[in-house]
Amino acid sequence: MADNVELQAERRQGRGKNDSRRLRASGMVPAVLYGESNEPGESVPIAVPTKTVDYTLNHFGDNALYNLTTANGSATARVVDAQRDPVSGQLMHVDFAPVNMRERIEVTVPVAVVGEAPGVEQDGGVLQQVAYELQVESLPGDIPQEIEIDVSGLGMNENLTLGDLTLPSGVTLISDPEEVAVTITAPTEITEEEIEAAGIVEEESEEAAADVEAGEAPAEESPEEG
Amino acid sequence: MLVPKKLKYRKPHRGRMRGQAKGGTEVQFGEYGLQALEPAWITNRQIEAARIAMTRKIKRGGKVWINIFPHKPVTKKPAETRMGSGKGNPEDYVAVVKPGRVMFEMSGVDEALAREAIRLAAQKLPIKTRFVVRGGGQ
Repeated sequence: MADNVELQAERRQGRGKNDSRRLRASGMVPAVLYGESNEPGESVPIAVPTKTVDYTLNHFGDNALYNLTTANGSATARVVDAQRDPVSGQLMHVDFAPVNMRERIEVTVPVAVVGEAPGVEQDGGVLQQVAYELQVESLPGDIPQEIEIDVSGLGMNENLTLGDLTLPSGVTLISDPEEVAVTITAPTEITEEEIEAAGIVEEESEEAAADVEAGEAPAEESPEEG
Repeated sequence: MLVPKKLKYRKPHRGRMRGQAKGGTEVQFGEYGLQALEPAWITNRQIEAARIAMTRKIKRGGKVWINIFPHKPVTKKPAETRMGSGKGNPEDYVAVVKPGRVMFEMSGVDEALAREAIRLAAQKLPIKTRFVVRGGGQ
């Protein structure tokens, strides 16, 4: 995990959608820093630079740690929730929770597939990733950015479970180890009746016409489509 | 085609489509998706045409998810009928889609093929859409 991200946070005075809108227009994003879990205190409404948080979330994932510096002091925190506009993708609000660097926490870590599976290359199967993330427990400083799953050696109709993953030292799996992470299945096919029923015939004729123009036989298919 | 098994009311009000989608705004099952950028009623025929278009493009390979369902019956009066005499009969079923909604998802194919398949599916729909990748990319 990379070093903690330094964030200069400001205490937020205004409330409501108008103040939040002005804040976003000025390059900041409304946020909240939760109270300590072992010493329940009040949450603090803050504002943090949008650019830094957005870049960190996109490049270092949701589990990056931040050094939040406010007027009252500093705290190590992580993002527990980030709201985005569904259309523009703009960051709307961020929730920070303070972390104790010596206390193990449960976090969600993304799963990344690596390697070429023989079931796909040789048998023409479809690699289907079922689990895109998993729950692990670790110290905040040891949280991996992602966990790799190696599919080389995976044949047709075979699967890998979360228990097959090799986790970094100090990280323990919380999710069900029997849960399927990756599987290789036979591809789905559609019948000619379905194609005709959906009125796709006209498009086929367009494609065929394009093929004829290109000097190819209509029935011939380019290898990239297969 | 997708049709509800049973209906609570045969002729519901048309309703409004204000605001953005409240949920279903991210790719949840596959790797790539088709996101709506405008509000619309998407009919079951359009959903089926889009599904067939993308499945046909990816042929042997990949998996497709449809995240919308045409729950809402839409009535129509017969052609050349005078106004009045009550509301028409249910003719179509539509899904109410608001901006931001991920309508279709796909996985098991490379990105170039997924983009092309989803472009073909988007042509079957009456709204502006965009291709989205799991994790918020475009």
